[in-house]
Amino acid sequence: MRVRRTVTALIISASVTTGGLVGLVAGPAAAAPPPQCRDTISVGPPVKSGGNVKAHSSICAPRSWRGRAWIERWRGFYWDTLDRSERKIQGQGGRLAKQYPLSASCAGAGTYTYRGGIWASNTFVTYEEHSAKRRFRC
Amino acid sequence: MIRARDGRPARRPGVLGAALMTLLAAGACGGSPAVPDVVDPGWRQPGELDIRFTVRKPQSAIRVHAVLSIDAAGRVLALRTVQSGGGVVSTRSDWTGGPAGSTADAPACASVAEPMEPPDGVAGWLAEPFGPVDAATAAGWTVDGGTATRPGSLDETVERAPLTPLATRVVREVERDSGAVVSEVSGITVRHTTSAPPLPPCGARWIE
Repeated sequence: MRVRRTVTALIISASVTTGGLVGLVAGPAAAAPPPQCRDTISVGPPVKSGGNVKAHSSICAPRSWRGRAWIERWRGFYWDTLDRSERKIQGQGGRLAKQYPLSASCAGAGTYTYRGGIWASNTFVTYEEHSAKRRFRC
Repeated sequence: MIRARDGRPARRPGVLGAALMTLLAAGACGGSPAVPDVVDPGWRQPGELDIRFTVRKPQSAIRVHAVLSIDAAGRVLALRTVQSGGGVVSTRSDWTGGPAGSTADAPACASVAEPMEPPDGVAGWLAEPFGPVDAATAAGWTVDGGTATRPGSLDETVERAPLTPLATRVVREVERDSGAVVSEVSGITVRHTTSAPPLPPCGARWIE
């Protein structure tokens, strides 16, 4: 409790002197540009979330880059893309990463190896990146 | 654009066909297999097992060409498989000698090394995606009247596999209420060979 009071007092004090709480918390960083990313696309390993399988994908690229991201499962002989898991992706430029969360129902399915996939192209160049796969029962 | 059924090779499994007839005849005369055993042991002959089939969805179709290498004991030593996407070979996956393998994937087929686990047991592996092949591989399925059923991959869907010979079998995932087809595996052909059939390279146009 004492610590909390002390911190509160410091914040109030600092807020008064700096003109606001935001100024104190953010400080000099508020003026800094948002974190920039290097040109890349990525997708994470799928995880189970209730009756769904989910994965995160992102793209950091100029707006001319487009592609898609998806979740698929290994069915013994081929990769089967999960319906409704596919998303079109597009870079937003400015060296900023744009996130595309992926999700699909897997309720009722047995134990499978799931994999996130992503690709993007600017017409004449194609990138490809796959996550580590993960096997689980949904 | 991926061609439909008429583009499929007319080839049908000769050896397997004979095996199927034998098995079916044995089942009819000898008694009581509750489920027609149309695959095992026909699939596990030593040599190369060339498998082709088509997966159709409302908006797309995938052609699959896989080759299994099988030893004298009926064990699968290796799997090589390619699948089509957009009319070209878009994905290749290879598995050899155990749970560690490597894959080369779509669309640029850039080579990456990843583990690829086959389902437990050869029979379970071969049951995907063709439905159970016999009572022993029907885990998770309910068999009734010659049709196997299990929950589908989506909510409110169900997967059905009539236990007919492979050449005529169609495995469908349908919406439980409307009956609308979510996906369909059909056009299954199986051929035994003594030499490993070549698979088309990544990026090549898919040719039947």
